[in-house]
Amino acid sequence: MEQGFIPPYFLDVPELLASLPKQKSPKTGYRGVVGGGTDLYVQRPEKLTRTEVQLVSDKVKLNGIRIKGKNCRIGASSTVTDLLESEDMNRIFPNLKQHLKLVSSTQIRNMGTVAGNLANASPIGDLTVFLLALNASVTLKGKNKHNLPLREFYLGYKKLNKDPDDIIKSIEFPLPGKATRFNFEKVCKRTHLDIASVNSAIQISETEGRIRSVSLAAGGIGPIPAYLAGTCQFLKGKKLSAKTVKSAAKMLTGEISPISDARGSASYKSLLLRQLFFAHFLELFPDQFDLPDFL
Amino acid sequence: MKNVDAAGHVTGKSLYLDDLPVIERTLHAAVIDSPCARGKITALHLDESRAAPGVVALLTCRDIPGENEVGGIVHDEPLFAVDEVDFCGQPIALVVAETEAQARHACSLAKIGIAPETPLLDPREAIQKGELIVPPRTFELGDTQAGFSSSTHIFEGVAETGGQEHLYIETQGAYAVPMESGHIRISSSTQGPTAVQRTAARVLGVPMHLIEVDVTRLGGGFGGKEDQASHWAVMAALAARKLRRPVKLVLHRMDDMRMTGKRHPYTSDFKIGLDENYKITAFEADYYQNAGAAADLSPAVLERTLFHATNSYYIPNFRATAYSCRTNLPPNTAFRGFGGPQGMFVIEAAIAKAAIALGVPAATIQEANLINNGDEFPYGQIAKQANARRAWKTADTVYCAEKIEAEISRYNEAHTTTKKGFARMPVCFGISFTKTPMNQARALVHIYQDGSVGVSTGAVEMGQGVNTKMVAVAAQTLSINPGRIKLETTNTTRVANTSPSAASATADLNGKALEKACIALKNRLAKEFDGIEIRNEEIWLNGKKTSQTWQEMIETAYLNRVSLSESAHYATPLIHYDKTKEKGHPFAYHVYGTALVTVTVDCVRGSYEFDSVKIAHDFGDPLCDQIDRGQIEGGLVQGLGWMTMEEVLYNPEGKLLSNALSTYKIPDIYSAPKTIEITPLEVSGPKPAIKKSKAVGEPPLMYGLGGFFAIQNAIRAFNPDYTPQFTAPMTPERVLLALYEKE
Ligand SMILES: Cc1cc2nc3c(=O)[nH]c(=O)nc-3n(C[C@H](O)[C@H](O)[C@H](O)COP(=O)(O)OP(=O)(O)OC[C@H]3O[C@@H](n4cnc5c(N)ncnc54)[C@H](O)[C@@H]3O)c2cc1C
Repeated sequence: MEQGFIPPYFLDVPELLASLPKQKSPKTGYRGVVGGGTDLYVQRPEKLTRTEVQLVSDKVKLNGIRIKGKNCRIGASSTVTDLLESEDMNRIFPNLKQHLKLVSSTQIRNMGTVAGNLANASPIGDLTVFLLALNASVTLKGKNKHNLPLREFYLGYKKLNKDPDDIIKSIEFPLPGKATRFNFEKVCKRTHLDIASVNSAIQISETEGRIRSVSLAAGGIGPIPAYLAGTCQFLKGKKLSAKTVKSAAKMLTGEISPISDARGSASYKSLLLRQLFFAHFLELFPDQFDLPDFL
Repeated sequence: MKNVDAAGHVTGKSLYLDDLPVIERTLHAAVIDSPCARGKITALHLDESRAAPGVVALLTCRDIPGENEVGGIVHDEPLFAVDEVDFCGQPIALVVAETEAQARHACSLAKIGIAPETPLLDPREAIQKGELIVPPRTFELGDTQAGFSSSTHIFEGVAETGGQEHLYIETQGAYAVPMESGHIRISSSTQGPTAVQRTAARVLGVPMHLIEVDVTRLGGGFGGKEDQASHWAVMAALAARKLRRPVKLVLHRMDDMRMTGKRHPYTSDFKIGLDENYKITAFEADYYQNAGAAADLSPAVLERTLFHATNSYYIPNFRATAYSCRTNLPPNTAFRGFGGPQGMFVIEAAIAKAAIALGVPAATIQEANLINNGDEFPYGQIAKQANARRAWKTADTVYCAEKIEAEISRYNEAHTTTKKGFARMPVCFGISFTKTPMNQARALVHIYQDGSVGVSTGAVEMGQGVNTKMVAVAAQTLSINPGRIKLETTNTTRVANTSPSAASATADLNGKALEKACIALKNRLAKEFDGIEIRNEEIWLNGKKTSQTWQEMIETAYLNRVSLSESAHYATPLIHYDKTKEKGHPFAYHVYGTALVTVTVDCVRGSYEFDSVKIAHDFGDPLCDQIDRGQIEGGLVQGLGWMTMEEVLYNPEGKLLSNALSTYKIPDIYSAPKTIEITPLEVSGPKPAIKKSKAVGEPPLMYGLGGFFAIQNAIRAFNPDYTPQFTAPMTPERVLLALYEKE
């Protein structure tokens, strides 16, 4: 402020905010939910200024990241920055900072919420793909409260398996076991502050050279952010070898249906997903694999 | 000298068009544009828009009192579509309402019936259908047939470059205020105040003196506001005149991206012949420029392509023909480099193709053919003070190019998942408007009674730092403190008949005029006061410092009734060009340089990072070193963006797909090269350059071309089966597909 970069009225902002009248929930159910608004206000600014909305980002009950027993619970309105700053999350995912730096920008990370990312149903939602690989589930509340595996949340392009009145309360995922490794990959035209052409996350555990469990998710390769069940099933129990990875990569391409658009041609997206699949193994098992092993 | 705007910019105090205080009773306008790329208008249902809340008027082509024409070079572009549309985003009507939101809402209610026809999008298809904007142009030197018959090696190929969105931070906009007696004052975000004035006068059917155009500064232009700022300014003026109320029109980002033209995409055929010493014996090329639906500046851009077809090389036998092809895209327009980069890409592609086929580094061919003093450019100008070789050698020695290359080979042998690529990019760029009459400028200087100075020129500040350069010119010439000098807005009533701020020539032309005015004032003061001399704010007489101050002297001069104002005119000497012969001396001088580009390609993911770009650049004697370095860095990164991630995409119906910041990506700080080094050549600048400081706006953009070839070399290091394609931009998609081609 002294240097003149920030205008003095910034000092009064907290007071100004506090003096605003408390917003009442609209009576007509839960339509018009706004989390951080980073998607809604970009897509439909003119419409939104004319409709009544329900702001949920500051709701205490919808915030907080907590470990409870063998699960982690993320409040629906947690922002990406909340994830980044959570000690628990950083302990569970040592590369979290590196991965989440690929998601939007500081300003958007400070505002955009996890529930907003999930409910957006964008086929390339980064947090969605991240959470799909963690076998996350969502807790919804409308007429009644219920819990649904995230991989059952998407029915089709931008179509959610939920009542329009349901709001997301929280997201839960089981804590990964000791031998479990996790990786997230994203490629776009521009590395930072861009939307993925294809993104992918994997959670894999290996003991004695065998794949014990694996969850693989990817975005940008179909109408919904996809859990790639067929490939996971193929990999489970197999020996962790270049041959296995190569065979699985062939399966992968059969499981997806990318389209050509501004983020790339369908054939590119297919190839890219295969490459990101390879990248998972190169990143997670660097002593075991090198790129030429897969080619 | 620091940029005079720096403090204002970082504290948000600099004024842009949308920051101007709004006058009471101001109306706001929004544009209804064509949803279809080509077709007949069958019905205009605008009643709902007209009846929408707050709407005051709805203007179409029928409301134009003068000509419905905004084309500059060729009169082929209506302000508002009449009975057919030629591109998606073509303005059809203007809604004027009490608020901006109301105007935009009313636009969304318009229903436009169009019988769609299949749009022409491909320039090669357009030429087959005879759709040319102007007749083709051909430049020739020597005899290519003879040249090819004496060639040991001949290679042919296709080279293609894409469009580029200007993405100025400040979108297009204007604010028109009706004054008395039919006078209209327009504040416009334009690089060409006179173009706005002339076009507004034509459309409104009034003499130019009734239109005043004022420009404070632009939040970026890059060529996008050379001709295409006029449309919006004219619309605002039209509404202001009709409604007798101030009217403001500022485009939203997506409207701007959809409605305005971009850098011209080109597709070209080339044929290159070399002898056994890698000397280019002959070169032929045909350039097909995608001009879009109207001429705009396309013929001038086309010309500059031909002027730069040989880049930094001397080619004794040369023939190049360029075609400006009419398609159903928004009229493409000026963009930093103005056709030059498109021309240079083709010769560099030809050299790269030959080098790959011959198994030699491209540098071998590049170096063997650099232009020397006395060599002739294909357009007849003889190279003087040719610094091509000096730039090449400077880069080589200062940055130890051989060592860089050796390190890269070692790196590539040791790494399987990433590969590095290297390329040299020499640049030779001609300075002057290629249309000779445009090379003139004027300046007006007032010294006020208190010794402070006001300067007006025709230069438009658009972030390039021209105001700082003008302050430096005035301060140096008058030998006074820069703090005494204020740059006024660019205004057509103070400085008339201006050329647009373009062609890298703004500082030269306006600076020279300003220098002349300052010299005249200095001489007048010397004459008045017995031959005094001003040295750094001090007044010297007969070699001795006097006790008089600048301020006191000016005060006395005023009391003595000496004129303290001066206006001066400058026209670049020597230059001329004969279009019928395609020969002449079109450029005041050339700017040279060489860049060494190193990139690392991630061969798993197809992404890439520029490790470094090391440049030897021909500054002349820099007037404002910091400003020039800023221009070089910015130009380089913009050029790299054009070559890599910036992809203008239309669907088969001619609709822009890359229509927002989410789908069109320009380099951010992370994608800029990790290191940018700039070494000035140790040479003095030429006389026509202002204070011998060479023009710097456009030339550095072309260093970015090296990025394409560096990536291509990295791909080749990974995939020996890759068949090099010369299609830019080299997006991560193209890179990945190339890495795994023929797998
Ligand atoms: C510049 C920019 C960059 C971006 N980059 C990325 C990126 O890199 N990766 C990426 O994945 N996304 C990106 N996005 C998209 C967006 O920011 C994210 O998807 C973000 O997580 C959305 O969260 P939000 O809270 O802002 O959603 P909002 O805009 O508030 O809402 C989005 C949708 O979710 C619904 N919603 C919100 N909260 C709830 C709830 N609790 N229950 C039910 N429905 C709810 C809303 O009704 C709406 O339909 C970017 C956006 C911008 C503007």
